[in-house]
Amino acid sequence: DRDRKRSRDREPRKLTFDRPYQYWDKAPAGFEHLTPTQYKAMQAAGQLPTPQLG
Amino acid sequence: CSRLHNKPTFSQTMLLQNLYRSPILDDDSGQQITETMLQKHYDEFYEEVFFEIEDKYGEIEEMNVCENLGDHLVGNVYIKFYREEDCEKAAEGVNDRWFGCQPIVAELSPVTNFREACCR
Repeated sequence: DRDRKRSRDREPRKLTFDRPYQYWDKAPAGFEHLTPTQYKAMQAAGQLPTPQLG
Repeated sequence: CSRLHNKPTFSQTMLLQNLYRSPILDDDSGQQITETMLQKHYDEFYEEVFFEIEDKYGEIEEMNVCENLGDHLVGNVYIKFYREEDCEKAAEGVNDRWFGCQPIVAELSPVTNFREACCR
C-alpha cells in the first residue's frame, strides 16, 4: 500500500476544475432513471449485481 | 484486525468504500500497464475527488486512498475534514451521487490518524 499524501498549500484556490470530470455523476448505463439511493436499495435486495472486488 | 469497525455518530473523517478502482483490476485489454500509466490514472482520480468534495462540501484536511488490491480495503478513500459538520454534510450528499458508473457508498469513519489506523 503506497502512502501518497498530498500536502496542502495555502495559495488561493482555482475556481474551476481544469478538465471535464471522468467519474462524478456518471450513472451505470441503463440505470440513469434511478437515484443512487434507489440503486443501492435494489443491490441490497439482491435485484442488482454488486460489483466484484479484488 | 477484527474488521468489526465502529461507525461513529460524529466524525471529521468520511469513508468512501471501494471508490478507487485500479486499472490492474480491469485489465482485459492485454495492454501492458506501466507505472507511469498507473500514476497518471491515480493522480487524475485523486484530483477529481479532492476538488469536487472540497468545492461542494468543505475544506479537506487530509485524503488517503488505499491502493492495495486485497478485498478488505480495496479502493477505500478516507477524507478527513477540518469540520465535523462538513463531513456529515459530505457523507449525506455523496451517498446520493454516482461515481464512475456506481453509486457511492459513504459512511463516517472513526479513523482520525491514518498513520495509527490498524487496517492498512
